[in-house]
Amino acid sequence: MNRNEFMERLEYLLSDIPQEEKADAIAYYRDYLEEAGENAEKAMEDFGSPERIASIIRSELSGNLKEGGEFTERGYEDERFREPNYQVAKRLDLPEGREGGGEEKREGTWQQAPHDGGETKRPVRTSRPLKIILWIVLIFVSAPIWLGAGGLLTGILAGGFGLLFGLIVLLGVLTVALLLAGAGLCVVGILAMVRWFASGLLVFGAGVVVVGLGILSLLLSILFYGKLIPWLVRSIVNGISGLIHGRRKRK
Amino acid sequence: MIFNTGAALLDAIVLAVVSRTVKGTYGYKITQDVRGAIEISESTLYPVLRRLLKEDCLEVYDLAIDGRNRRYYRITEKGRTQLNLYRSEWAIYSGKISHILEDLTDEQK
Repeated sequence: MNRNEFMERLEYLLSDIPQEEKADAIAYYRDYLEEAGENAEKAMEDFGSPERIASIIRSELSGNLKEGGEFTERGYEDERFREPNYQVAKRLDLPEGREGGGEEKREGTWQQAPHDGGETKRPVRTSRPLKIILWIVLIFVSAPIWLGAGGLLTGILAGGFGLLFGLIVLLGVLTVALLLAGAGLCVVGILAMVRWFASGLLVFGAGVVVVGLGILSLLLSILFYGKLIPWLVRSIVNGISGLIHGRRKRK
Repeated sequence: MIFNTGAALLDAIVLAVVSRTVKGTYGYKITQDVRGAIEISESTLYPVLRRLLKEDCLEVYDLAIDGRNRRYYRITEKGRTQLNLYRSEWAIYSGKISHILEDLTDEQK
């Protein structure tokens, strides 16, 4: 595209903006290329496309960079204006820049501009536990779909879950029962020792053994509830999200 | 250059460049002068110059050169005030940054 074509295209792209603004902008860029002389080719290359120049002129006119720009964690950004080492966007970081009208906003940004420290915010992280919970909810909500998908798989899964659930309940109940029974036997044994020492001692001994079993089962439960279940949930969740996201690596 | 130039600093640089000549200077020259200090694309300055014009920090006049008009930009009183504000802010800011980056101990100063 030569210089004339470039300018014609630019003029066409700006046909809907006020005549004066358009003439100004066209004059600026035309003069620029003329002043550039033999460097005009390079300058045009740097301009990019007439479309890019038009969008720069246009968004300047509307007083801000509304069209195409967006607020991100790092402030206001506009892809079309991203160039090395110059953040046009920074000026519009200020709250006034977004809410106020044209002139008023300009005043605001103007006065504050020297103090604009270019604050940056850390990117928001989604918490992992939240993700896991959401996944579990999703799994249950979407159950009808994947339940229908494979009867066998569902059966195996349901069986597995049933077994797991049974184990969870059994272990808890067993632990509580053992501890209670052991304690009970100990008390009964001590009481019995007063009248029948030998039998009482036997009962008491049995009580101690049962309490011991109870403690063992308690430790097992702690291990089971504390480690195995979270691990199971995690691996299930990871497995499913892996299936959904394909081979994408998780952070 | 690996450091970003914010809008305020770019304004300051443009005002400084324009203020260097009493009779003013024109778009292409401003761009090249600014490019002597920081890396900007050739197209960047139009919106900046326009904004500074609207804020009455700059004024324009046309001058016939080689049979055509060249638009000159000249700094205004308001622009000069603003430039002075930028200068003092910059002196403080750059002083502090240099102080930290050069990492002089108290004895060395």
